[in-house]
Amino acid sequence: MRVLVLTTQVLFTRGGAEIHAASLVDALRKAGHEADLASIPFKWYPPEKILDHMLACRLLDITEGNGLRADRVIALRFPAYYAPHPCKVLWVMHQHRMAFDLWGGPECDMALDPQGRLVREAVEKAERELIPQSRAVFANSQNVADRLSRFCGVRAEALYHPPRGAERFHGGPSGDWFYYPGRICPLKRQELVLRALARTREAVKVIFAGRPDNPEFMEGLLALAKKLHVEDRVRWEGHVTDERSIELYAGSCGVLYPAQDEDYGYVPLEAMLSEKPVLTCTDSGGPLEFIADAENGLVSAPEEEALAAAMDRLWKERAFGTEAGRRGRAKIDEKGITWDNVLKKLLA
Amino acid sequence: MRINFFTPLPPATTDIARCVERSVRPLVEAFEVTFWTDAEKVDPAFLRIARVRRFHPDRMDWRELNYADFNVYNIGNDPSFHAGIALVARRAPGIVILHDACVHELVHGTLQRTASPAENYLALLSRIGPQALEDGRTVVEGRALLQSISAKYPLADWVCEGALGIVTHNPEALRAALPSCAAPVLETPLPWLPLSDLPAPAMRERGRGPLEMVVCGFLNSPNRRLPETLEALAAFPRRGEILLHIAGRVKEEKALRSRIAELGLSRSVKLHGYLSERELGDLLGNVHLAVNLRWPSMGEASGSQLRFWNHSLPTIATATGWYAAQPAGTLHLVRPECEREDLHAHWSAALDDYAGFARAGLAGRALLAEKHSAEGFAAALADFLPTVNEFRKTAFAPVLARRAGLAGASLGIGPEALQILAKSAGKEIAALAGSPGGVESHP
Repeated sequence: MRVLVLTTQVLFTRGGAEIHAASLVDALRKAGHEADLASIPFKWYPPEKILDHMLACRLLDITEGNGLRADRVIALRFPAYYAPHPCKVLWVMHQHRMAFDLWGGPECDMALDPQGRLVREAVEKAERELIPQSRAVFANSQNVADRLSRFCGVRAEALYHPPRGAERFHGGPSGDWFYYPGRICPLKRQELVLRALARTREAVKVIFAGRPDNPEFMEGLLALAKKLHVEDRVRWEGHVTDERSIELYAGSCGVLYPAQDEDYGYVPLEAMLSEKPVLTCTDSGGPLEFIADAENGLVSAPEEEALAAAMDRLWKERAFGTEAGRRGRAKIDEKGITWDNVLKKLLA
Repeated sequence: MRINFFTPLPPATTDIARCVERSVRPLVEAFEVTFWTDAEKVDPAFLRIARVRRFHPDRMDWRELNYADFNVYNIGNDPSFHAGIALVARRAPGIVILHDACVHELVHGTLQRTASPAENYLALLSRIGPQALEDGRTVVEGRALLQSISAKYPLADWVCEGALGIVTHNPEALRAALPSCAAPVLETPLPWLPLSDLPAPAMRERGRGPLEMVVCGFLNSPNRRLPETLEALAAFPRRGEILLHIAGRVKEEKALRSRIAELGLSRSVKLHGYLSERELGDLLGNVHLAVNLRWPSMGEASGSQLRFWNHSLPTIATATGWYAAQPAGTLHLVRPECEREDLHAHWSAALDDYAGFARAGLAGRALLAEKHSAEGFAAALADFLPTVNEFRKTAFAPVLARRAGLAGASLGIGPEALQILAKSAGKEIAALAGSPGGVESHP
């Protein structure tokens, strides 16, 4: 089958979304399909630009190239998934969250513009009209499926996929650090981790890995660590290779993932594959589909004090952490999260 | 329901502020409303009833507007009260209450706040056509007064561009000023007082002494016909039986006094200057009729007229716009082309049979209770909001069409190619809006 994977590219940014698209293309090729990836640039500010991009995507002809027809289009991200195609399947990684669950919150830059409400209404209208026109609608996680239903009345099936290089993750002895990989940005709540760290009673240490979305935000975190006198208890590794990340997972005493209402989140899955307990929050969204409190990790309130107590517990109670890590590994194996299953659904 | 209401507020010397003051209670009861003003002063009595915020159009926190359910803009023709509101209304779409269908003076005054006022004003008129541009040049170059062309080009589309809903108290004037309008329109009478606050109707009586008339309000605009009224009075053979009260600020009071003297009316006219609400109420309670002329009409529904009816005061008005649309028997109308002749006829009628003449005041008072209650206005607005909300879902379509048009035009391609592009863009904008039809993209 000739399959086009269609996504959106935020220029000069690389994270889970890009890995997801590339992994899907790899999986399709490994399964013997002719697969190609088309990434459409997307910029969301000022909000009127969103309208432009929505229209630009609608004007694209992705039915074929040089006489070669796309038998199936798998569209992943807003607004690329608006491009018309008769055999289009949506696998929604997330909607434009500023228009939905983040609308009304402090992160919502859309509302800082006088046209913000108008654009929000436009996005909702288009989602309601166009998404159901696809051949099938899947979501990256139950959390994303729930948002589609709650905000747009669209039904979608949650379809989980494995992290890239899942087979390479492995366990290891519990070391003296928590590992927190991921983009450095407000929604991932590195700031909350620093504040909680300052309140721990144990000599907890944290290794952060990942690039900042915005250099100013990173500078703010560095300044905060200094102000809280925890700068010698944190290490900022920046971007790390896959090999290095696997090592950091395997050597940690646990993995932190207190992100706010995450769509899916590779980190908890990678932690489970690495046999590590995961510390996440009650409002972290997607990770809660995998992490159960006191079973394969801890689920804390998204507050400094509660997070600090949970970090202390995992730091102190190594035997619990080791057992929780084992249970996590067993759980992910049971769930059968494989690319074969994913492709079966997407290409049906 | 959270509503932001941008409006002049008391003590601003405009009927619109007074209208809001009178009708505030039902609005506060019906909605979670915040009133926004760019004026320095707000009457403390109003602050006790309503939540008030100050704004500056250049320093808005748009979240306040985006997160409200609706934003409402009270728009009149006077830039000193409405320029700031108009600037916000044009940026953050909402419901425009258009008190004057002709807002040429407002637009001109608002553009004075921009970096290139004359260029912007002429650019706007050039969109209407070459004659409008030429007329605009006569104003910009000081060869003509703004008022001489304002009624010809109402410019209502400038303040209503992008509006999610329009409220009018004068539907006929709105249709004339804004013949094509995508936004839903609510036609509802200008509110006066809550029903419980209306004074009891009272048949006016004339005792001995002269027939006392009043002209009041904002008298500087030529369309209020003050000089013509004075000339008509001077030419009226029975002027000795009449006393005319003029209440309200007059810019050139000295010149007006000279003119009154020239016309031999010094004993027939009394100038009061600006009167407080209470003083004006006392005056209206004692006179026998009001003269409330407008020519040309700016398409406004008259707050002054409601005030006269509140006192069951019979009124002479111009047979134009909103006044002409009032039910028969509620006003004594003057044909613009026979103004003096008709004024004389009405004055004679009032002198000869005041009881018959005064019945119009009672009819107006009944109409005031039936159609102009503040509760009725709040209820009509509440009923209108679902329609506005529905329209808002696709309000992005013309915005996007315009943006697509600009992008297409920037390609520098020929008209045929542009037409093809416009057709495709129109089709896809319609798809985004869930419309089976097309939306025109404007090159």
